[in-house]
Amino acid sequence: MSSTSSIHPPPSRVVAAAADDFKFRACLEAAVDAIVVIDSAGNIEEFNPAATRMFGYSQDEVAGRNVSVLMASHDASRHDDYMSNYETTGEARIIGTGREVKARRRDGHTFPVKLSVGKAVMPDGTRYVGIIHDLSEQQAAARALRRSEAALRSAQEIARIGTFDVALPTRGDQIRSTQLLKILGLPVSLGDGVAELMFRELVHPDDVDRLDKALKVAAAGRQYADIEYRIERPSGEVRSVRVMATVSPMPGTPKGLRLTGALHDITDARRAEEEARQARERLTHVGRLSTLGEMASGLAHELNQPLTAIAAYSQAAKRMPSVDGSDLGQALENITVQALRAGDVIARMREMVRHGETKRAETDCNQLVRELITLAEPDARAADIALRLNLLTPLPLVNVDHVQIQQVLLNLVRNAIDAMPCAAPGAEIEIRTCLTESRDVQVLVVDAGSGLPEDALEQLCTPFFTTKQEGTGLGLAISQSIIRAHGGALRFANNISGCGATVSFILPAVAEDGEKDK
Amino acid sequence: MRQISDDQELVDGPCVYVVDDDAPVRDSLTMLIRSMGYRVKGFESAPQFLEAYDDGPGCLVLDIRMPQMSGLDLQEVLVERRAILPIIFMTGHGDVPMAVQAMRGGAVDFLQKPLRDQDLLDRINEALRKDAENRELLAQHQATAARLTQLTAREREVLDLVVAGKANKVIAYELDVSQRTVEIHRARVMEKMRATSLAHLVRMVVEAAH
Repeated sequence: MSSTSSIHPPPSRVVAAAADDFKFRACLEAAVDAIVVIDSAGNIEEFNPAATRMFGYSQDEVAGRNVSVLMASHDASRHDDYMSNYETTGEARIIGTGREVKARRRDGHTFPVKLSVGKAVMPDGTRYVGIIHDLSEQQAAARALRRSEAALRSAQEIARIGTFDVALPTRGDQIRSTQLLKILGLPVSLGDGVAELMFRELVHPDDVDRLDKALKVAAAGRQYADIEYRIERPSGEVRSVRVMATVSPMPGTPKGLRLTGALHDITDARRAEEEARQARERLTHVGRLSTLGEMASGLAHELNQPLTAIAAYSQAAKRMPSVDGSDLGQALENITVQALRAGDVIARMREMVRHGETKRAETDCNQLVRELITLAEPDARAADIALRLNLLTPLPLVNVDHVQIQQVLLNLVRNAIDAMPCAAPGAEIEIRTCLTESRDVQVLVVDAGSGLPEDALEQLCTPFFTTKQEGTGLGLAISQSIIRAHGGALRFANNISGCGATVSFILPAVAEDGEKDK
Repeated sequence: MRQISDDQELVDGPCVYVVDDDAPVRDSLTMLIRSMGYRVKGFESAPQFLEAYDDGPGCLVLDIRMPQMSGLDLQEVLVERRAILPIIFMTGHGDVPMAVQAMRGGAVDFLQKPLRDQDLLDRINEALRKDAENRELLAQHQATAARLTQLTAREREVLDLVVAGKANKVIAYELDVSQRTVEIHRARVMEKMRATSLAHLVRMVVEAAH
């Protein structure tokens, strides 16, 4: 580059030159950016007050020193090379363009600057004027902005909230956060059209009209829209979202809307709410059941008393000499039978609702059977039937509600007795305990009665199904539900001998240490 | 079963005591039991029964669930008093554990309300038979005890050794008397105790000791 293109004051105009110098000084003083003038060897000639503020050197301190003191080591070591390169080849790397470089303060601290360099050819040699603009604040601001954007992004991600500022139909600039696209299940690289997708195409068909209406209402009143609806992601997954946005008509576009706001993915919250609601419902149900249970047991007692009186009065009346054997006697007999039957229903009902309150403990089934015999014996004796025990000892323990299992067993034994109405002398019911192949405990009640009718087998455990004249049809239904609640099974079979039936239940054995390897 | 007319009241003989807090139940049951030919008395609470009961023969038809004092509580008190009255329990709710407890406590039986008259009749008959047996045994024990008190100290010594299975010769040696003296004491003991045989004597004394 030729040296003639630059400032070149004629020596004859000294006064004018003095005036120029004055203006130059004023410029140096007033400049916000640092201005440093160096000669072609790189030595500092001028160092304005802004430079002093920026670098921490006074004019006197740096006058005559090489400009490299102001540069970070990397640039400083090369500066002389740059200069000589330029001086010999005229190949400028910086003149007239400006670039970002690192500067160094007096205290050694480095900071980013924008450096522009001008060249002045003067009678006593070439000068270079460097104008240095501190970029620290600008770069810090840029960093802060980047950080806050990142924070916003992660906040949106955590809160599952996407933000947008869009027109519908799409027109002009649109702002939509990455999280918005993620919520919608769209690629982050999506171009235009997010508004159409979000408010039209991806909306669940059942919610389209409702959303549309809500947006129109909001736009008409320039109101804030707050509506929940469902999005069908392109993958087919359905998400529940809540949009909160200011909605306004788009000037110049008929029916066009401008929407600014946030989209909140509330799927998980909704799911949690739904689960909580279901849990509450289950609790309420249990509560209702236990109230029902209490009510039923109270009712059972209250109804049983008058039934007892009715049965006793009619039985007493039937025995009176003037009544015995007459039609009135038959009528009283019928009253008695019905009162007793009602009493049975109440007893069964009470057993049924009592299920909830179970107290399980590890129990020896043999002990349970022996205890029960005391209770079943009178009925058996009355029917001339012997109860024979055939117990396998020792038996593994079972974890059961003692009372409930005894109720089941009592029920089975009474059924067995009922199945043998005309027992021959020496007739017996065998109560047997044994182990199944899987080493669980089985309790069998073997009778010698009429056997089970094949067509009734399937219905035996259906509530209110009965083969007995006066049965309630609840005994086996309750027994089965009790046994099932214990993880066991109730079994029925007619005896292979062709006489009588065997009803049994299986209860899972409590695993003994190291014995059960399942 | 004895057939009696309604207005005829047997002053002696066994009585069926009905304890139930529910008046219609109590009234109907006493009517039913009376129709079966038994002497019957109703009480509306356990304490009321305890106050009136004079340890007479009979049996108790007892509701298990009553305010203040339950049927099981009454059973306990009777056991403590060494009363031997057999108990037939009634329950409105067929509680197996209660039934087991009652049976362990010596109840004759357990009936579920409402009652079948034949069941009730059978249980009452059985209870009264058991009560009569118990009383007979008790009477025998008391008689034995009374006779034992009539023995002299020496006779008592001889009796204890006889019951212990020792021969006259051994007894004579242990008591340092002649065998003849032992024989005389022994004959007096048999007479005073009204024993028909040695076996009878031993059984009487052993049973009375219980």
